[in-house]
Amino acid sequence: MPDFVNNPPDWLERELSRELAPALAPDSLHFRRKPDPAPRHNGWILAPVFAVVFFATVAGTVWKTGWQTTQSLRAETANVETITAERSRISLAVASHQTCMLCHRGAELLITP
Amino acid sequence: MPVLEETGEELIEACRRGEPGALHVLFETHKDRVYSIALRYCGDAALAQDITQDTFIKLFSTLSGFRGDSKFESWLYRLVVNSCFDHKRKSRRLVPLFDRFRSLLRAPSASALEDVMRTEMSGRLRAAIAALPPDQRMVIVLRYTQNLAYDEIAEIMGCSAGTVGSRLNRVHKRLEARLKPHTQTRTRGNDRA
Repeated sequence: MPDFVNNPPDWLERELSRELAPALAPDSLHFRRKPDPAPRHNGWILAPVFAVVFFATVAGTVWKTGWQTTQSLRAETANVETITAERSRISLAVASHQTCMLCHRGAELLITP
Repeated sequence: MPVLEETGEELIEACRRGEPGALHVLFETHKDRVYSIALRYCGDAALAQDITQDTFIKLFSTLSGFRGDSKFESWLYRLVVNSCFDHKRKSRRLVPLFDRFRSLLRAPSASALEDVMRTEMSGRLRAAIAALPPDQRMVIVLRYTQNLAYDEIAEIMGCSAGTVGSRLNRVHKRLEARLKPHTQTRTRGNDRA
């Protein structure tokens, strides 16, 4: 027997043999030839959330600029001549008793009776 | 010859030829010993399953490179050892107490006191083995789980048989120093009982 072969005390040998005894593989261990496919990127899960937030922001901005302008102009139908003259430099004659919806979008002026 | 009846070299040749079912037979033949080494090395059943799967996937992908210079088992053991070293401990054992309780139920013995003592010793030994450096832990696992000879361990670990011997010697001394006080307590406890 070579010099380096060493024998531990019996009690340690016994304990080690018991603790490190061979084990049976569980039934849940299945034969597999290839590794599992890579998990889906987590970013895709959040994509719909980002889309909803993006569209809500865009819609909110559009609503705020367009709709509020319309509302404020509608409230001031009486001063429509002044407003159109100020914002579009167009002189417009509107009867004071006539109500109208007026939406000012840049150079375009829409008047809906 | 049907795949199921083939052994050793014939089975490996069948795997190389791509015979249907040959890889499956190879897996079934060796899964217990691969799993045993992984389990005794890392001490975690789930992690041991991962290591086993990784080892076989590596084995299947590199089987064509096996030239037969060494024994197939040695080559397989080397793959397991490398997988064990590569695998970082991903999860810590959260329920060691549950495991102890389960092992207590599995191994009924003469007295409850003896069971408790044995479970306690088992826990201490497991903790002492877990605290060993990776190469020392692997040497002791290969020695006691697979009952391998020094030169076989040396071939797997890529070192000399003398190195294996000195590592085992160091491990035995370390474990003895750590566990001996508890064995004496245990003996005194048994005497009183």
